[in-house]
Amino acid sequence: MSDRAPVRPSDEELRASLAHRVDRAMRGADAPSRDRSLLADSIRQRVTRTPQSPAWRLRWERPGRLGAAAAVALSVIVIAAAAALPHLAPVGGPRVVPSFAGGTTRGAPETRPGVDPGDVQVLTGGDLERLLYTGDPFPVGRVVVAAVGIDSAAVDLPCRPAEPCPVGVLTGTSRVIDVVAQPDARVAPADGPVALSLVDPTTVEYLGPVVASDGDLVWDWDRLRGRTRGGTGDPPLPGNVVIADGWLVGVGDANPGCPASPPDEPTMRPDLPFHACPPGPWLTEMPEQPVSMTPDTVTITHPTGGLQVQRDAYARFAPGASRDEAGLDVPRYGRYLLRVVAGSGRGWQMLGRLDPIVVPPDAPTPMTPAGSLEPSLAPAAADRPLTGTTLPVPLDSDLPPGRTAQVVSNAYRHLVLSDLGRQVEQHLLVPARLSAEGETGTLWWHDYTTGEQILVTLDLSRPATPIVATEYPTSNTTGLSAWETQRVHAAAVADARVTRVLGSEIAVADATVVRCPVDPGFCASAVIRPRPPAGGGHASAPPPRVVVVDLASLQVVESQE
Amino acid sequence: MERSLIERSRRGDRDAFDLLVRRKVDAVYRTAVSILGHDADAQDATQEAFVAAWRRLPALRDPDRFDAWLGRILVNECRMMLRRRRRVREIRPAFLRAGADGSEATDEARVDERRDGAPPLADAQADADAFARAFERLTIDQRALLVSHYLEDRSLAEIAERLGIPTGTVKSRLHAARRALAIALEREAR
Repeated sequence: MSDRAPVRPSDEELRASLAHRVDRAMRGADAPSRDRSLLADSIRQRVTRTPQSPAWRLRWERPGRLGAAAAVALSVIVIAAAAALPHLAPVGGPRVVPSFAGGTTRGAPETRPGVDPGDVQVLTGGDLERLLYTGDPFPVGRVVVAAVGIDSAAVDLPCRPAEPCPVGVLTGTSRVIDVVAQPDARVAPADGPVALSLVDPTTVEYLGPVVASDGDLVWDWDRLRGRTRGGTGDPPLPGNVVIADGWLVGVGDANPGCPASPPDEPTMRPDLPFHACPPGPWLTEMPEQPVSMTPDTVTITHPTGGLQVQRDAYARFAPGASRDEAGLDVPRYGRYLLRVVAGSGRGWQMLGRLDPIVVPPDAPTPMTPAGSLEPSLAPAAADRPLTGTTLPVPLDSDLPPGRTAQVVSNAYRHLVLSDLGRQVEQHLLVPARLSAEGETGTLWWHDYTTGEQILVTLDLSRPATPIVATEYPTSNTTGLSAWETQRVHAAAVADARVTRVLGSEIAVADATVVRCPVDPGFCASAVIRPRPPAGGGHASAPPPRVVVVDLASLQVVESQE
Repeated sequence: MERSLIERSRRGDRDAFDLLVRRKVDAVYRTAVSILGHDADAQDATQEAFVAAWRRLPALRDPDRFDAWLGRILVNECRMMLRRRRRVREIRPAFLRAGADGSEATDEARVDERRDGAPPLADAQADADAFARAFERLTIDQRALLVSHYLEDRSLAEIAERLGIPTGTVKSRLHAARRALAIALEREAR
């Protein structure tokens, strides 16, 4: 951190900025949503369906050591009602007798959706490279397991406290992929795979070495439990990462008095002078529901052999995290990455969910010559894989002298057709023309399906331009970087949803802090700016329109002039 | 009057709670929108906060502290909202990070270049955007503190009462929040 104190806004500036922030957010709302009475109506409807919880007074029962097996399995908090509330029906959720054995609890889901019990997907450096550069949409925040090396001698940069620190670059990749890690992480040479989080198209975050259990990357629960009890075998060391399939179970609202913030924060309820945080959430082998309620008690039982993880793990990583009407978290099954944060597996941090990830194809196939603009050469998008290669600049190139350029031979345009709900249509695009004026280039894409042209403005002033392939890495699929691919899609989607003015250009605005309604989300913003009238003239051009496109759902989420 | 509504609500009177909601909803929403910066999120957080308050009301012992209690629930819901959605993400394309000579260039400058001569964003708009991004780098608790003091004009003593912590602690946290905001603004300006 810099020694020099940052310049602080004055009180008045801060007030004005906050007020402006509120005004801007409220201006963006449509008229009905500005009517707070509708919000109150909606709350009333929810309240009508929602029973009140018992008025509890906390009584802690800390179990003694009940033997080796039970001691790990058992941690019970009994919250007894301050007064009996016989008029209240039992509050939702499973009606269970607290179980020290911790078997499957009635009321919890039994199915195990979405996880392939087969091998763990271990990416190679090449896989990772293609994923990073051509992932579509870019899988920000996803965690992966990869067999890659890290050259830590490649960086010598100071680290800022509390920020990810550059620790090296990946080895075995043709492009430079930076590796960052949390300041307290120790990046040690690993014989096996490592866990990584995808940060942006040129950066991954190192999470730790992935350790196997007797050669199996997915830990068997018996071994996991045995080792967490300090049983046979070497327990995973702090900093190591393990993979486990299981149910992520939380306690939902059944945590009176428990702050989500650190212990030095105020208690959640002013009438409780202390923190009363029940444990959890946990990763468990069986779909247990740790919370049970009666009209006058709420009981939270530490699931048998469950691995307690950090408090926000359920909200962050459970697939389809949700609460039922009683405010209890619904157990969710998945394959999760866990890091040991205390010796002998007594403390665990959940790093993420290890979902299958689609790696773009390796070898490009020969392309349709860009100059061939026969519509018959464009088969239905669904019949044709996303393949591509780079080609010499096609038609009408007027690049500055001395420059060479390669452009995508084809790409796809995803359209969200408003009159067909959320249906997405995929159109093949072929570059039709590249022009340059000064250091700015414009690439015309031809949409075979609709006959429309899409324009993308390019910066030719740097080697890192998307159309110069020699120094800037390009996608096998589109010839563009992952980011550029997103831009094309953004432009295409914007084009589909915003009244299009022929001759308008689509330029990409600063992409910082755009809102994505999906997780992992990725959005792009674009400015659609009509060209000045041909031949000069004094007629003023229509104002530019800014759109923000959610590239996961391919929808325009904001559009304003 | 309000105390009566709260006590009736604690006993399960939904009509009383509805009246209470209608009295408070605007202020609660305004706090939420100032923390989250987004209308739909703020509406969701407001709704969740009131529903959670309804569910937990029987446990509230002192009706006079309802506002502080509700405020804390709201901040918690705002925190949950961000965690669930986790959708604000700063992406900086590589080609915007460095110039041809490897020198750093600001994203704004690069974007302005890419606009092919278009006028840069108006300063006020750019400032507002920068402030929004910087503010969203703060923790929810820091945001809530700044909003309470500078937007809602609550005194340190009021905030201390609301949070149940000493005034001195509020002061030091407010100081830390302002410093964090200044650092975030500085980063945005680079």
